[in-house]
Amino acid sequence: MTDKILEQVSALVDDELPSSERALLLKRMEADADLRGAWGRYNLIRDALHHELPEQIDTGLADRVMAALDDEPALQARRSTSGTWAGALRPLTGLAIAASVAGLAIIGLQQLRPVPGPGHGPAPVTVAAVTPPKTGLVKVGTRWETDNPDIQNRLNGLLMNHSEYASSTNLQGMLHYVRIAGYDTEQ
Amino acid sequence: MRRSAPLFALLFLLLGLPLGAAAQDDGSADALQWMEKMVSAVKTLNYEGTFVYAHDWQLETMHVIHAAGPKGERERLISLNGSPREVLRDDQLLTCILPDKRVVMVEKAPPPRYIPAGLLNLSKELRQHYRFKLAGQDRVAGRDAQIVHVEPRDGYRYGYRLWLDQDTGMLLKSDLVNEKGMPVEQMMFTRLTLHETIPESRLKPAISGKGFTWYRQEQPPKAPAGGGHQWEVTKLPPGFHMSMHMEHAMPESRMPVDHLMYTDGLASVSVYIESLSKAEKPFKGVSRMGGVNAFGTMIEGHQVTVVGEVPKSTVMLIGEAVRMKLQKGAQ
Repeated sequence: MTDKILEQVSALVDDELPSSERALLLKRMEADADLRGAWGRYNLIRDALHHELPEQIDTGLADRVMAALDDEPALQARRSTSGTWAGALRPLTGLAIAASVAGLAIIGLQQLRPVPGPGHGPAPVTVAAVTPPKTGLVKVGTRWETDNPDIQNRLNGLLMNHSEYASSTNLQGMLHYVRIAGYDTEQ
Repeated sequence: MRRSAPLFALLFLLLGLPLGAAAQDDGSADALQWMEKMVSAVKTLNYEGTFVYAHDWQLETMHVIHAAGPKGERERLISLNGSPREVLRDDQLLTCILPDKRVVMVEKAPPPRYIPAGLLNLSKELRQHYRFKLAGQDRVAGRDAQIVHVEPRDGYRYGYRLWLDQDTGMLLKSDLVNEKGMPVEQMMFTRLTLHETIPESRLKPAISGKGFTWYRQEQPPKAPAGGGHQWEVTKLPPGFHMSMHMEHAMPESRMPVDHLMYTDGLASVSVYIESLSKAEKPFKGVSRMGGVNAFGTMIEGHQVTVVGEVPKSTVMLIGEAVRMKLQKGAQ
């Protein structure tokens, strides 16, 4: 684990890592438990600095979310399919969810915290309380589910054209253009 | 007004719906009347508002300014998150300004759409594939709203949940719902103001695009040439029919692209067929962005891409049924 990688993990925690570096780092984190540990610790440090530390701390959240996702039938089915799409997406999925729910779990805990009294600590955060999104795979940014920039560009052009032709024939009028405006072109 | 033809076609279509639906007395007539009101309101009102657009776990905030007048519709859409991307459209052009890429894409608006054969009879067909119902009242962006549900009768199309302004029928919130009843895409106004008129300055982009790379679609779309390759889709999901067949140049591609469009009256699917240069990697498989699915495959050495706001199974079924046919007299 080099200092540079740890620096990147720290930047990821602060949401300051350029998205061009994010995919590679998430891939590395998927394969490296130490890096995931560092990510957890950095989250703790950040929360401590911001005075956002809960009374009970869940240090293994990233690993447990990853494990929970491994048991998720929808994702298993996705991984078992051959082809580049499933392979390209997988590294982002678990950690992206873990990164999202880390924040949510702490906010949730703070909201649910009972009035402090003797012997009544807050319930520990458990992964079971975290429901992975059911609408599909999580992506980083509003973009097509592919990591090939040329194909992204082509699909974008086709979507723009489709939007122009489809907008007057269905209910979604404005939403067609929203998809273009909301499209995250940053790599 | 170049767009008046399809607008009236759609209004005509929706106006025609309640007559048939009333006979069934299942509430669908009222729901369809609300939808008719919405289609008109979204296009004919002057409004400005901020809304959130959500899909998967992504959330975008957008601002929209819409003007309708004797010159037709004009709209300016600005992304309030991240890079200030803008989409501007009028009856002539669709312009996308992408400051993060320093790119401006300009596409000519389609020619006036003709009314496809059978469109006026679609009401019966629509009810074969969707259920329409009123689903109570709510409040969105401080306005009283009527909820309308449009439920698909099979897995080849998405459903819609619509929140419509009680006074005007304007769309305040919409969910695109998948076959499992889960929203795949949601839009909701957080603030909406209706205006008598919209000042011209509000419709001008904040970014000039100076120094940006401009991609312009130089050639207007045209009907495909008579000879040579022709394409067809040999199998379609129930209720879908071809609404258009065009050949056009795309802003980012020099090759002409064959474009076939299919609709069931509400959802639409585009099929694009193009030759790839040797440097270009084919797109194979399924990709998704929010409510839009895309499927790519190679057929007879051509890239076939299917794009639509429909489930994955629909783009796959259509894409796999694309075939080349030779016209009479072709080489």
